[in-house]
Amino acid sequence: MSTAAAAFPPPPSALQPRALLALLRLSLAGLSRLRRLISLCLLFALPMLLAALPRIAASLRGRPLDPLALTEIEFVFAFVLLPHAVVPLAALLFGSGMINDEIEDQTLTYLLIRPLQRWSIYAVKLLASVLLVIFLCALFVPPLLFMIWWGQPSVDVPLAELVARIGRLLVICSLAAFAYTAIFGCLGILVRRILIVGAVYIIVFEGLLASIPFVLREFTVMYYLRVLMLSWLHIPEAARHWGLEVDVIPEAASCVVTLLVVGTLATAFACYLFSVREFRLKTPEGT
Amino acid sequence: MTSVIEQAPTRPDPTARPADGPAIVDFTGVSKWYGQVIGLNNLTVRIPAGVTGLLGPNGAGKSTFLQLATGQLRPSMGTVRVLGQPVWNNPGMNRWIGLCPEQDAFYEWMTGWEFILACAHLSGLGGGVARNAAAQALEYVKMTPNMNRAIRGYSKGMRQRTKIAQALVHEPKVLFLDEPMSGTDPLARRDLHDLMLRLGDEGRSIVLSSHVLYEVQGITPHILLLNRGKLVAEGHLRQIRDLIDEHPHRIVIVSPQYRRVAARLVEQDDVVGMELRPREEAVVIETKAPDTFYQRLPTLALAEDTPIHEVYSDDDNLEAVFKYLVSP
Repeated sequence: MSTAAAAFPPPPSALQPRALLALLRLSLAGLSRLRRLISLCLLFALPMLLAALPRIAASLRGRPLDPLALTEIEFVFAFVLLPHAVVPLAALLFGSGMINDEIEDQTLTYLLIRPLQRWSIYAVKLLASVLLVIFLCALFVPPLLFMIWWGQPSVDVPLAELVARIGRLLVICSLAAFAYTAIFGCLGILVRRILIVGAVYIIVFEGLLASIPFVLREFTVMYYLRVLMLSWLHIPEAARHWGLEVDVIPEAASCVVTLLVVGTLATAFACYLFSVREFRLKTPEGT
Repeated sequence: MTSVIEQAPTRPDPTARPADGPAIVDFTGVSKWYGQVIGLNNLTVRIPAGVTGLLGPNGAGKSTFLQLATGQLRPSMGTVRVLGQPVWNNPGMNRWIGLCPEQDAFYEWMTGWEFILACAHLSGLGGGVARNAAAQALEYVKMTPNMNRAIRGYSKGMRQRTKIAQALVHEPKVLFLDEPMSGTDPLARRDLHDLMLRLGDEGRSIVLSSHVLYEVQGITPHILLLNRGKLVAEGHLRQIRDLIDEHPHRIVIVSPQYRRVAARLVEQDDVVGMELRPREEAVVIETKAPDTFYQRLPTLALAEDTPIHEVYSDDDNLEAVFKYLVSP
């Protein structure tokens, strides 16, 4: 019996746009299952709900909030809670789940046995995760800032300025979504208990380390996000709160490039790991 | 009832397989280790076109074999080729390969139609072609009436058929079916059996894994026997049966007068061993001439003092067969 490869046609290309598009649709649908979407919507709505409380209290007292109080509210809920906690947590949930869910549910087989390059499976799933985080940001950031600033009797914020501020914050959140999801996706392939590891990473590395004025903080994503917020959103109190020296912080453009490079490197490394790793799904036989 | 090997409906060999044709699946010196555990141990086997049964008890390495053959696992040693091409890290090959996996896993929130259509798209089929392929695959496995229901509501048989449909949707050249009848009820089992016969009759190359000899021998006489990651036997069912027939057959006879039955049978020349099972009111006899033995049974059963309630083979599982094949 011969094994002549010539007897059979060569395999077709494994990078077909329509297959990748189908994978993107499948991943978006899988990641946005109702229960997960509701939890994430609640998470993203949290800053808005918390920011609404002082406004409600002020209206009950019959005294409008002064501009300084509004600036503090915006800082705490839009510039601290959202990019420091909500976006990283959402990125952790999506980034950890995009592959691990498929392994847990044993559905990864259906992807691995299709003519798709392994790295492209990972890359498309990451894309779906990042898009979903950005979608949630786009859904909740505008009402958050509108809720803080719009219709306040004490300040008159022009609509165009508010929209521009929303746009800039959305870009910053999108960069955060990409960098964090890429990092957590990569960690998800490297470690088992990614949710615990990810939570520790957010608290210790991104939370504490980024706040210590030392060279190590330049290795955190948060440092660059803070610099961008400082540069683009004109929040003078941020420099004091975050211990940033305006004279020595990097340019906004280099922050953007750094975040993109970090996300890309994490993605490339994870793609490599995914393409060489064996995924041995448990079977009833257990072989 | 006689031994399953004797009595099961063995198909006449409809596939005269070209012995000198190219190997569809080619394992050369393949070993697969999971840490200290050996999945496959220096396995060399060439599977020609046609339907081949991959048999072995639980833990024999069947799933490892199929996962290696479908490029999901990388061999620790040796080479795995399908249709002449290496399969590990060669995803283009998946256009020619279909796998019905063993695990009962789905995107449960999808309907059968959505799932099969998604699989068609993932295989690179587009638009109308994908829709036609999905419709045909579902029709082929007779799931069209249920295709718009959520998979989470499917019965085990429907789920198995849906798994086969996803393996067929892109018209693969080789089909790997991992325990396709596992866990199904007799009705679903018969449907799946007919479905696999149809696939074989259409000239598809199929590797069908099972731990139940009876299931496979009704579909193909070409079998590979794996045990503990090694190839125990390979070839036509007749050859395997010959190997098995070198060992005594164990036949269980249930009778309230099992001691008297035992006393009658022990006198026969062809009975080479005997064991009493008081709790089951049964006697297990070992014979090297099962045909002669079965011919004599009606006379024994008709005798008033030796009523027989049940007769069955103690060899109706593969573990017993392997015991024969691997014992010295």
